[in-house]
Amino acid sequence: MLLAATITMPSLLSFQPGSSSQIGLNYPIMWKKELSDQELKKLIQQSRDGNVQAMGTLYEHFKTSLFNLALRYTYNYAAAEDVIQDVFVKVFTNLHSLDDDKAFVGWLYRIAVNTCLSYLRSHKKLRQKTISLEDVQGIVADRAPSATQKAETKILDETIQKLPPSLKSVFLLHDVQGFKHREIAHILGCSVGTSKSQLFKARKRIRKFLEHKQWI
Amino acid sequence: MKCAKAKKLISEYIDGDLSAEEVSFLEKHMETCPNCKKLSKDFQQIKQTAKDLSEVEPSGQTWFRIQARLKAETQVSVPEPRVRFLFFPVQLRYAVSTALLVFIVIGAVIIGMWIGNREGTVNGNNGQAFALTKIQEAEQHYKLAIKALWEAVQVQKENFDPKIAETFRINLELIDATLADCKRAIQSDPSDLESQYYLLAVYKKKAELLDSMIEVSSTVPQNIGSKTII
Repeated sequence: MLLAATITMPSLLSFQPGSSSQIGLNYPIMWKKELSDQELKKLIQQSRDGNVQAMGTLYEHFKTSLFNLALRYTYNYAAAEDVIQDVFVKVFTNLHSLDDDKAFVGWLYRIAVNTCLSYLRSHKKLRQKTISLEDVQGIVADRAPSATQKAETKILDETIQKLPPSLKSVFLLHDVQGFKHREIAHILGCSVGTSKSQLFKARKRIRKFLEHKQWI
Repeated sequence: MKCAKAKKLISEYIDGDLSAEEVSFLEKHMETCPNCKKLSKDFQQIKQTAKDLSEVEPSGQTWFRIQARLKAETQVSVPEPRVRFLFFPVQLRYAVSTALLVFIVIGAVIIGMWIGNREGTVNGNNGQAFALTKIQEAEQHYKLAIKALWEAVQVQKENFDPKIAETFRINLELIDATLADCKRAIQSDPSDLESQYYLLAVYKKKAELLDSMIEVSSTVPQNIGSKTII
């Protein structure tokens, strides 16, 4: 019989993040939802050992935040789903190479941001026209904004979509996701000063756009 | 404090990142500067609205898809031949097109042989001669297909993993040795239809193997060792 020998192909993802210092995260990034360091560490270790239930718990914990981050890069529900699938597959496939479990959250978000940017690069020509997240099909999580708030968030979403990727990343991580500049610097691999100046530029751009819309 | 300096501090001011001294200077400036005061208010409004942006949940199927992909990542063997035509380089597309066309012609020839055989049972030697002619036609078509596929393999050969290349080389040698045996058998008895059919079957295997080589070389990413995800 031809091709009787089974040939194991190399993994498509041979990502080697190296030491945590290479990523620049030597301390925990405090996540806004409640999950103690101990719990997180245990889940990471169990996931590394192939425990699917632990992987599922980690997914459940970060899915909404990462999905909304992806959605504000792609503004396409299906594309955002593809992005977070890629993110979690990369994360669980390469978890063994993460030396410092305390660096997990920053590492996860760094992979997420880079996967989103990679998506934008490869779909540059196909990018859709501006749409609001309010118009994106999906289940809106537990917030009930007033009509005014809804209108304001809709305009802001449209504005965020117009930001260049470097400004968008900082704005989304800081003002939407709630990360500190020190954490953003580690996620994006830039200095704290750069993170601050990018946020200032992003806010100025947004303000200018909102002035045109006579929102402020 | 001048406006230019104040504006640079306003973003950090609303985030609470300034020292007490800087806050004092900035607030003093804003008491007399409506523009900077307005900038601070606008930034605060943007920040607050950003916190209120709606959140959307991914579908319930996402986790199942991730699980399925993780399962698939654990063991990857040589893939079954799949035609992902549009992803082939232009040279390969021509080669595969030629090969496909040739296979269609061979199919027609084999049907012709079958009809010839049926007639042969009625017409005796004429039928056998017809079948031999058709087998020889099929052989020519197989040779043409194999030539096209071989050229395509040569284009892709630098993409092969050494282990895969070695496996293919061994299989190709086996097939070529079997082809040589068949040809010798036919030379000793040109009217032996069984040897002729066997020869066609071996040509078919060779074409399939070359097709698998193209498929595998198109599937294996280049520079695997250096690929990174971020």
